[in-house]
Amino acid sequence: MRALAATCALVLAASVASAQRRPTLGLRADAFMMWVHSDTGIARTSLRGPGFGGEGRISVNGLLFGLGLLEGQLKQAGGTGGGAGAPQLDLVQGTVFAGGQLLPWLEITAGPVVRAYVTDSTTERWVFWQARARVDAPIVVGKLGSYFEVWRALASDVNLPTGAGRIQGGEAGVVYQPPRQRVWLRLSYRMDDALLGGPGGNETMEAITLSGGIAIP
Amino acid sequence: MSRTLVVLMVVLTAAPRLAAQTATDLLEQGVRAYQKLEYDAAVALLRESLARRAPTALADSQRARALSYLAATELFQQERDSAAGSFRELVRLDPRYRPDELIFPPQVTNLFEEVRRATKVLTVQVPASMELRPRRESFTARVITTSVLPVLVTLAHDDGTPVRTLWDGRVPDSMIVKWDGTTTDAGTLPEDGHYLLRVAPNPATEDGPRPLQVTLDITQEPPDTLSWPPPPTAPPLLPERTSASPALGSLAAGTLAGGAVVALPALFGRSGEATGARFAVAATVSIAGLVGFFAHQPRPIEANIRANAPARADWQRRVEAVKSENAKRRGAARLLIRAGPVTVAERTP
Repeated sequence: MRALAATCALVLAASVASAQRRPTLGLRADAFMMWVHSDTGIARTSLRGPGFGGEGRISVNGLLFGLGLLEGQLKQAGGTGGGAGAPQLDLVQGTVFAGGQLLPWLEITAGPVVRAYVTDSTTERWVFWQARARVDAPIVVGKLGSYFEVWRALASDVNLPTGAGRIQGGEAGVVYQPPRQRVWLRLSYRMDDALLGGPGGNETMEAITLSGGIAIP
Repeated sequence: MSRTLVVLMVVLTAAPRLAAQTATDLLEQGVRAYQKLEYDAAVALLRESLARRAPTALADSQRARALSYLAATELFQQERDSAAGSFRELVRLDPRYRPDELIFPPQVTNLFEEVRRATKVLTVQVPASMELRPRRESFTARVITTSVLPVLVTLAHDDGTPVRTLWDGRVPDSMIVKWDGTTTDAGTLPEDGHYLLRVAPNPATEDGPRPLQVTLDITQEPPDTLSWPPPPTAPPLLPERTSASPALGSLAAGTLAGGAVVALPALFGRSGEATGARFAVAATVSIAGLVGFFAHQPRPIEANIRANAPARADWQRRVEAVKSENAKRRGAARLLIRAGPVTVAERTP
């Protein structure tokens, strides 16, 4: 929680440092292919499947507020031991975040994330507070850019007997914005790794995402 | 016999006093004796004055005067050959000297002219040192002869290699030979060093005058030239090409992001295992970086080039003005010429 407080302090500093600007609204739609590897220590499964998502954010005076949602359908991709007969499951993740743009190329956000793996009979639910930092590096100013984003859970919980361990991940990709357009396209790869508490095990999520967005001033 | 006795008596009686007197005193006494028609005493005194050696020797002008009176005295003593010999020595000493017609009667001056015409003498006079602006001013050498004489005047390196022929023709009495300070018709200036000014009868004859030479120490003094105006720089000039930094920045951004895509499983995954699909994303990101690199290659900025054109043209005009001024100054280089003594040169075959 101390880290969360530090993140909030940074965000506040960013808001103070920013000049008065008009609010900006950003919308994004994602289509992705996802891989989830689960290793409980007893069984190891790999699932994959497509998904869709979206995010909306508003920026006011350097402060950011936003929420996101993604949903995917995962099927067996192969496995060993008891995982061979694992059923299809759905992944649903919701995110709320707030933060600020400390520098033109640095964005810090934090907020709760709820992630659920849903089968016909059970739901594995993760809830965690996450801090994120994103660095933007233009390749061709106004047209092409790259970015790199990392995150880490400040507090986490899961409805499994083992409990939740640390959760961290990262994402990198390229953004293309056509000249004199407010829309943009993005191709990215993300990796998210959640450790289970106790003797071990983890759940790793990878995704290749093709996104489209628009910035509305 | 009696004259010899008189001379002997004069010398013997005057000898102790003569030794204590200067050559100039002896000359003046000899002249007074001549004027009193005491020719024997005059001859003795004048010869004694001429016989003195440095440091009490007569100066050349006094020596010429002494020889004039001596020749006249000898002529009046009916010793024509001796008189002719004295005049010959006088001509060789100073070819331009003439006995004063107000002092000496025509029979003396006539004999002098007869001897002068018969005596072939060649000499040259040059200034001891001078500064010369080549092509505008001239180094002058006065060539003196006692009769019309074909003369070749050349400038040569100190090893004898000819540089320029300054005169090749007859010299009636005396003439000024000029050198404009160049070594070629194109106006090339001489390099620093020693040169020889050779003055020789042409053709050389056994009984003719000996060739002469003067060593010339020539030093070129380069003129001060103006430095070029500094070229215009930015600012105030506007940049005329885009910078290469954005290209490298784009390449770095693409490469680092692509590398991050590949490295994400290792950085954040527990086992480091991941699908190979991420390589497609990494390749796309890297290609984007390459696109940015090539898109940002330095290019001319035409608008800035046009805006800078007047400043560049002004600088070019100033450069041309400095070039023109420097060309003028280089043309005004000065030669410092120091002449050595006139010496007799070897006869050339």
